[in-house]
Amino acid sequence: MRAEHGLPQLLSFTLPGLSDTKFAIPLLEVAEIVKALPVTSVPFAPFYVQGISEWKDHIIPIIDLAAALCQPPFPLIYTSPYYLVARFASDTTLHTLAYPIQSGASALLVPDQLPLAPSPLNLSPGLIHATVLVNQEPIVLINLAELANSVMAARAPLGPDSNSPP
Amino acid sequence: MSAPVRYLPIEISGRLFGFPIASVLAVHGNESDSAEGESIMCIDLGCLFGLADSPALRSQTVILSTLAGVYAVRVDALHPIRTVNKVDAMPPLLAMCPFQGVVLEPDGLVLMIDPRQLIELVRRAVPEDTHEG
Repeated sequence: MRAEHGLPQLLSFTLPGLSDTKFAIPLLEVAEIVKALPVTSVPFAPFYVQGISEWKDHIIPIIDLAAALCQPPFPLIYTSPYYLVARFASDTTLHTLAYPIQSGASALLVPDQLPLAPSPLNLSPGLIHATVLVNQEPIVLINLAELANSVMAARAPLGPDSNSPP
Repeated sequence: MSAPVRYLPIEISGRLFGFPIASVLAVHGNESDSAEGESIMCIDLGCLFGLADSPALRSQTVILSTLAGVYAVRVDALHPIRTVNKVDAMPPLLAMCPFQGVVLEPDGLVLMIDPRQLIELVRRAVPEDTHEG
């Protein structure tokens, strides 16, 4: 996640439904930002999964990251013209997924050490690495691997908790 | 390249799903809920998948045989059997869903139902004495 000059690189963005909060993931986890992915819904998917889509010959899940991050009940499923396709590894698995973001995503070069800020109380702490201050602005660093780990750990398949939040 | 896979496309509320042909014991153009004279559990897939309109529309029945037992599902329509060269695995985040894979067809993504996971889901969700049929 470091540029040639040694600084970590992040992609900063906002989410439909949580537009007051800035989020970021390592730039290395960003596979692509695409427009208008057609979504096929999947019965019995967790509440934050909008469905699946085809991306570059892969079947990938489309998640509503705002819904995953918020404590339920989360009333609306948000869509956007833009989807961020992310690739990351959890414990043993390489995951590819996409989620809607708002326009205006930008790459950030940040120093190794950043001051911490309190995380927004309405967000699930398990899916957040930390909230940091960049130019005095709080940015929530998302922990996508934890989302995958929580699902994989709870996947006693089809159990009554299969729709539980991460 | 994996071996060709044959599946039976079924339609529910205008949407296609598939059953692996190896699990299909019989199909009936009526509301049959018996196999070889034995009464069996019958599942309305439209209701189960939350795609329900009027169950009365689902007049086609597929009898499925799995290691977990024989049961029937009601669907709106049956389509001709298809053969595909590739069934993509479900993404790990969706491994809890009763599907064994996804087929990319010209008419969209078709979820391949896992008949065994489906019956286990129903048995966990619904007390035995309330099963239809």
